[in-house]
Amino acid sequence: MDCNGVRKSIFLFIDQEMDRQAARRLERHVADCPHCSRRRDYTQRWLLLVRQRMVRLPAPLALRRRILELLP
Amino acid sequence: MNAMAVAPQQQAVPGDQPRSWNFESITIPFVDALYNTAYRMTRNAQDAEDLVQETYLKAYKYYDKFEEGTNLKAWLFKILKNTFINSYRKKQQAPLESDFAEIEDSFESLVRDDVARKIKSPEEEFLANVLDEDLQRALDDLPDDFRMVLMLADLESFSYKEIAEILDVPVGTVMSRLYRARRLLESAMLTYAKNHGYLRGGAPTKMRSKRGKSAATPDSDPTEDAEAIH
Repeated sequence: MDCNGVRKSIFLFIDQEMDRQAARRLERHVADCPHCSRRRDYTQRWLLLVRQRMVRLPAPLALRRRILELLP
Repeated sequence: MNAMAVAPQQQAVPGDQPRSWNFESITIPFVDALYNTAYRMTRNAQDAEDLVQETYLKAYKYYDKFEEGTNLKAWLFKILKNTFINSYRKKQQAPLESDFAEIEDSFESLVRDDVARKIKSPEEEFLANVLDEDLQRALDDLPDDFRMVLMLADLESFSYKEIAEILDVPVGTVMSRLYRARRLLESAMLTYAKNHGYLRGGAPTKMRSKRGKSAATPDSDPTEDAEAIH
């Protein structure tokens, strides 16, 4: 795994969608590479920011009511 | 819009509840999640409500086809997605499935910036100065297919496999589409942050006072061209 490989697969890694062996290869590279270590930290924080700060609206009460009324 | 669904045959066995009673109780907990994705996709509160309503009616109609014990949430989102594409999508936007190299790498440009400005962490400064409105606008700017995959992954935390099931595409497509979607989102957020002047040495503390604002944006016109981010 090289820096380019980390760049391409960093999301897979953070999402825990990588197979174990590939994940270990990535971790080994990151342990020795300050640039990729920095990328990993930043990407984790960026993704967390996006997930936490995306607005979650409750469904309007009128919609809930309408759905329950319409279902037989 | 046809208000009443055709009800599946309800064969009530003595002592058993009709299957429709069960439907309501197990599907209504997903209404908030469905509404949120519907709202992000239609960018219009009225359309979002209609879309969710139509989704429930379709789900009820086809409930016989749902295999009990399988992923109900994914099944409902699949119906939502199909209904959105068939009835609510304003224009065809084919995502560009070309290679990863084409997307601007915001991290690289941020890192180059620390050399230019001799500050320790431009990426931290960027994250600290993102406004809710920046995120909202950047999300709205995404082509439909990218926004959809992002909602499924980062709002609803579906796995890649579940997303593949919902979108009816290979897992590889989910991976590349999500990668592109996130990179585009990041790039747009960085552009907006730069527009706020953070890279020109603007004081971060001034930015923070804006963050308290509610992030619910007014309805934007979905027929307006999104900013070109390709």
